[in-house]
Amino acid sequence: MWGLQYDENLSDNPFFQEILANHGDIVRRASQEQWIICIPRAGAFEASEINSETIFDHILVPSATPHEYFCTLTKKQVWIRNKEIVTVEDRPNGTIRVLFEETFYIEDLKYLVFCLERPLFMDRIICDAHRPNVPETLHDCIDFLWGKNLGHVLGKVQRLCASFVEQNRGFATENLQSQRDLVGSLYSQCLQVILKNQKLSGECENLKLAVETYMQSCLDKTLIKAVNTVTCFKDASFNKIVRNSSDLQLKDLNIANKFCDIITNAKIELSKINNYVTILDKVNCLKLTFNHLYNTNVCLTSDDILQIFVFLIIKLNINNWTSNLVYLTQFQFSTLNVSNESNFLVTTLEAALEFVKSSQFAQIKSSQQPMNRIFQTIATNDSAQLRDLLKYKRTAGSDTNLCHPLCDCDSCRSADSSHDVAMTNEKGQSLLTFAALFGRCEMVELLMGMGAEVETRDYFGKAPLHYAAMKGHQDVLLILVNRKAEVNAKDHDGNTPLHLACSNGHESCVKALFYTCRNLDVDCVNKRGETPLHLAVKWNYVGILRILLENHAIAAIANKKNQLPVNLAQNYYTEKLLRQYNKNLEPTQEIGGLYPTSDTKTVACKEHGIRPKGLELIKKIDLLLKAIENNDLPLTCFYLGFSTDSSSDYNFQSKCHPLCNCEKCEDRDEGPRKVVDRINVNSCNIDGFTPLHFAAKFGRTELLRILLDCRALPNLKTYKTLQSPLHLACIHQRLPAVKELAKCANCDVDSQDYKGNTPLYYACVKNDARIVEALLNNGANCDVRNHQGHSVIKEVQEKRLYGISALLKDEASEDFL
Amino acid sequence: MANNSGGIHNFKVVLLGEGCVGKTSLVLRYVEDKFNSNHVTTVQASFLNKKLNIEGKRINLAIWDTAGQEKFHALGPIYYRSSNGAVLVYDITDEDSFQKVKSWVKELRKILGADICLVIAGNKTDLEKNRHVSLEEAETYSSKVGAIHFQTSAKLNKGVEEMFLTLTQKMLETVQEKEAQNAPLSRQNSQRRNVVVVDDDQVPPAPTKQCCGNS
Repeated sequence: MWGLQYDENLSDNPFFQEILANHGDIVRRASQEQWIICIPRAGAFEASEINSETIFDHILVPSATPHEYFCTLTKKQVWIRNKEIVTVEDRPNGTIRVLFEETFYIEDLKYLVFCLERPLFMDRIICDAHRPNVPETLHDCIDFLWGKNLGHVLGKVQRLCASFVEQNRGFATENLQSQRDLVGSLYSQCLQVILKNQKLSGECENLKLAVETYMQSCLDKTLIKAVNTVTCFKDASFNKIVRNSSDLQLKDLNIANKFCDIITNAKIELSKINNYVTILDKVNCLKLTFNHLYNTNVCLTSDDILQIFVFLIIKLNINNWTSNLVYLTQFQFSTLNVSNESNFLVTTLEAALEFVKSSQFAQIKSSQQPMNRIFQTIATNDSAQLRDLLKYKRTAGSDTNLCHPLCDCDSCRSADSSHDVAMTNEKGQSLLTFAALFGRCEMVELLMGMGAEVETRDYFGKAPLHYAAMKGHQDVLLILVNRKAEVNAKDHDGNTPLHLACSNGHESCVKALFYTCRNLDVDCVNKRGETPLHLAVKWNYVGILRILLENHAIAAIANKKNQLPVNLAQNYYTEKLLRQYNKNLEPTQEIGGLYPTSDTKTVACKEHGIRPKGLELIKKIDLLLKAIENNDLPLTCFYLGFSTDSSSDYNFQSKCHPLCNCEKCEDRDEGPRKVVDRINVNSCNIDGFTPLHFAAKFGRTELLRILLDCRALPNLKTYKTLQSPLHLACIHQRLPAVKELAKCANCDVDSQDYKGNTPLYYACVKNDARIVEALLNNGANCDVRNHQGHSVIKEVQEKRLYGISALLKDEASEDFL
Repeated sequence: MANNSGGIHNFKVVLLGEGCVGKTSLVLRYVEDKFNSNHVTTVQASFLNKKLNIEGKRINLAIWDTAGQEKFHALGPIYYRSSNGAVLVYDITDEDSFQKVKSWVKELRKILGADICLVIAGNKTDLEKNRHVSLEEAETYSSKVGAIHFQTSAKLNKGVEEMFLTLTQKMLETVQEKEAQNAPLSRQNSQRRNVVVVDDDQVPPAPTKQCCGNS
């Protein structure tokens, strides 16, 4: 009954023609006494079977009670139930489907006609192939085409689609109109293939639908991804709204609790919408969702349905609603009938999406009302009241200044209830957490001034900083960070503030975090194994994605479902960005530091440092390297745009307030401001030397540590000699530097230079037993062969370095044992 | 949009009106011949089909119920675009619901022009004793904006069928007039709409024919 319904013109039906021609009296009485005239569908009976007896069998006369009981003119009992006529109970052929009802208004007569699947009271088996069915899924379409002896056409359509994908490599970046035109012309090509093979019979509409659906399934992800790309930015802004409303509950949307159960089932059904590729299947998914809603004894009005749909959209993890809608409305060419039921379903979806985007929806607030008066003051931003409440407590202290010991008046009660800055509400949220949640900047400052603890956690393990990032309150976030809130703190789901800011699309907060926190962990994983990068990709936030990648987020970390961020990429832009920043991105590649594998030779993302662009930058890098050579730590830090530990306190502390822009503060503000044009820690000079190389070469251990903390990659190689910092440290015999580098988790101690020599080789050649020992302790392998085919041991023996040789042998024999 | 595929006219009819005026009851009464004040039914009420055959012309009515709550008002155009007819329902015991109908009429005429056939239904005539909207006022207003006015009661099954039948006949006339106009032109232009802005003061061409059901 969905999509295209069975239909025939009853005036052409011989059974009906017979009634009209020879039984005019029946028609008249039907009009006067509300008889129902039943007509078997065309083709379900033989012309010879039409006689007065069978016709009288098909006239239903209503009996007095109950409503659904009828009697035929031949005095046989039948009853109507769920659009079916039951002639005999408990017999497979006893129930006959009513295909459709038609009300006739002819001259002054009005009567109702039922078109039946097959005649009443005739025990005839109807072959299933003749059953009038409308394809509802891709599967039905394929069956339908096979049934029409058109199986061979499927292959042709497949080939047309394959060559379409081949010829339109840039399909995804086209605009919507040209995408439609391209797909539309492909559709007409596919249709021509069919038309060549078939004289179009009555089921022309179904045929078109089947061909189109099969075509869509062949185009598969190509088409979906292209539409995703077109709607990418709309989806991102929609996702942001949805993500930030995810705490809405049924009652916030005025949905009655009685719908609770059906919503659960509907949600499961609707969550599958992205598993389907074809429009028919997606619409069918909507239809099944609706059926779950209707399968109750509760009548749903359009208002209910709309509200339930809004709720489902908010609660489901689907990131491309706009894209789905555009696909459903713009890419169907086979049917132009806009008034059918599938159109109604799609329109309901559209209305729900539109409502979520509307200002009406923005006014719906979570009904999370503060229980306590003091929390209320924070919600309403009433600082005077808050100060009063807290001050009162402080002055009152333990000396209860109650009117009398058991007094219950308002002022005494407020003094009695424990108002102090550390108090929590029913969710374990402190006052500060609550202020951060509501983005009340003044309140946050006030509470901090009163000594509120910045690291309090609520029952979800979230600190105030989490809420500031989650809700996009950049101002609050900056204050908290400035007060040394732990920026990499994880809540009970393993999410850091960065995760939450990324998942809710708060670009300003993501920027602020990178801007102010030098120890921010970009690649932190939550309990689902997702990095912030995963979340940004998943919800289509291209802006945030770019920031993350510019800050060297690693795109090669897989989540617990073994998906890399690039696997989650829904559209062309995010995919391109990910590939652009991670040229060596391989689907199965994992980064050694985070997932230590037995193979010590994990592939680093990049071989060499970042090559500077522009003369000015090259000069700057040379200056930076010179500063390292001169052991000028402050200058080095200045160039790199971060502060050393000892000087990190200058930050905001001395400013009027954290975001102050007055002249005095601006002068002090130079530190973070330099971040804008700082030199990337992994950039290199024209020979490929990074700051880390220089720090290692000259043994600047403190700087080395800072560099590694700031995500300097330890395995970058110089251009000609292919030496890593560890090579240089060994060659120049910098023991502390060697130790520092070798213990770094993702450092490759056996990296080979242009001659194939490992750092161990150089340490041995220099006859520096302590360095050799340090390397061996960190798992250096003395059997690695250089390009001449000699292992380190052999070289050492040739050079008669017996002390070292003994060390290596000890190691080798230990291994051996 | 009315498309005449296989000799059948497909008409889309939207039901508009404030919440609780009985839109759902009207359509359920018409299509399923059911009424229950508690709406206990297993039939979905927001989309229903009804096939008619008027003097040999086959018509398929797709009746769309819409959300009536004020907060959903802005979604109206999504529902009523490309519809052939609209049933604007008010509750005769509720003056506000009649004002709401006026605002719908204005909006529909502004966006869909004269292409859409309108009927205005004063529902709940079984509560005649609590009437707050006078019949005269409603009828004057309706004829002023080119709509047909009906008094209905879904509970008592009064005026419902006549209303839909009259609307259908009117839609049929409109579509046939249009076909006659468009006959020399390409049929593809059927999407184009004449936009007519109708103010309350301005009197549009009066309805050509008053039909039987206008009690």
